[in-house]
Amino acid sequence: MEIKVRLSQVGVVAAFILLWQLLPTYNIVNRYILVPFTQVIASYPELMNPANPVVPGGLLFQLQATLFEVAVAFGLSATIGVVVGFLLGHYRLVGSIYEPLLYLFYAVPGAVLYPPIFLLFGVGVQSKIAIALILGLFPMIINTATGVRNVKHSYIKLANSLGVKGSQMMTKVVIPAAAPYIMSGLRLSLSFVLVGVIFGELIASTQGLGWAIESASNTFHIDMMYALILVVVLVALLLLLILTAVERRLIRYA
Amino acid sequence: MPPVIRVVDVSKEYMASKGALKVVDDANLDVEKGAFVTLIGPSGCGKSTLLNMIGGLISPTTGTIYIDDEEVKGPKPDKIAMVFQDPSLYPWRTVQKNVEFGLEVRGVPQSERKSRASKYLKLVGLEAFSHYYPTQISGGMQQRVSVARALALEPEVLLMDEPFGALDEQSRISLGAELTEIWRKTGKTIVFVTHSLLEAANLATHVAVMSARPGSIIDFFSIEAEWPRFPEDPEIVEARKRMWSHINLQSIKQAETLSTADNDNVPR
Repeated sequence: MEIKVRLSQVGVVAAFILLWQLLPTYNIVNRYILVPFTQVIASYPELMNPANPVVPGGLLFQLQATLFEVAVAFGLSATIGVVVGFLLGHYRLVGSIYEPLLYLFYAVPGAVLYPPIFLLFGVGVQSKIAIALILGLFPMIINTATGVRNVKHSYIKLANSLGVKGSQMMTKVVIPAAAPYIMSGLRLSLSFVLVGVIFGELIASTQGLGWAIESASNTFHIDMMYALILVVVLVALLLLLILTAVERRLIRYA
Repeated sequence: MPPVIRVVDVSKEYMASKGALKVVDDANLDVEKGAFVTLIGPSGCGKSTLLNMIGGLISPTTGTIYIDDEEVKGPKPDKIAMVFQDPSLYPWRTVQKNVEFGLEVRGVPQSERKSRASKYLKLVGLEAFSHYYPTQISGGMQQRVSVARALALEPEVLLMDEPFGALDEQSRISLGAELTEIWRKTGKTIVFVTHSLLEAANLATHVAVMSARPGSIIDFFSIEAEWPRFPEDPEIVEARKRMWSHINLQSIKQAETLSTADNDNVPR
């Protein structure tokens, strides 16, 4: 049964790639707009070459630049988010003051952040990290706060009867109980950070995968553009898969 | 030998927006060492509140509670362990780690934690499930783990608040028999809150009957019968009749006061 599902999934991807190849090849779609799959793959060797004029430094260099921004932004938003989320969830008064405000801002399209942040930080890595960090913070804080607040009362009552106090209550009861929420906060946060970084690079940057995509597009190297987009897709998939694997390891009971 | 538990003139009153709500009123109770006392009364009479006060989770408004002549000011896990209706096993810990939890919190070293956990899991018959997670075992089994967790603390007193309330009748009967066995083997002093007259009669050496809210202890009697006990045994029948005569009266009184009372402020 499981095998059937897997095979079907592989089949869907294969069909997609087939369409990607056949539609432009047979001129059903303009082959300069939708570059055939094989041609896209063929552009990778040149992309990898650090000396290539479209993407200076080569694919690996740009990839590393983007990954760096993602790693820093995600790491920061995860740690700050968990701490702030815990405080908001644990201290009812503080939570009731700040959380509704948080929800309000959560609804604002992140794009409005770009102009002021670029003015403030310029086009270097800091601006991308700043935006991605802010975007990633919201789901992290909100999810953590919800998780902390929703810890079953019976867990707390039981711990009280066993003499658990203060920091032990936090580390041995509240955080593990809130873990599923924190994990889903991490997943959301990662997605938002990825969007923030790539978008930021697309708009105003001197390096990174997003910038490379822009560069390839502007110089009409559409095959390279798709090749780079594919890399972004694969990176996102891989990161999310890693997170899911970690989640399954830690939360195998739920 | 002085009683292990002494409840002296204990009252509990909650402040609500519409005035004070007295839940327990001048309760007095003495529990001797090794007794199995069942606490029974009409719904909402304050039995759980009283039990929580004995356990140190709630503090009395007036009066004092003594365990081994020491005033109860908060939870004392090395003397008193509690078992609630909800087994509250932590789903992120295995059965064994759940039983070890109380000991972990008290800084008991790893090897002793493991051996005590094994010992009490064996006592409740669940050693084979040590490495299962709570979601993988039944409600009755979870409750047995919860009992093992309480016993692992090796307390003198076990306070149980309708531990079998969420289980089916057959589980209640078999777990009740197991509990009697465990009690006889370990010699603990037990206070057991229940709604069931039959359960109270089956398990108890002494029965404490509470009045309707605000609750006080209106009767306290012993049941001399040997185990195994059967519902048709004369002492059991007598005990249930005696309990019911009080509770029936109390329920009627309660219904009268409820129709005039303010129900929005019952605290939980």
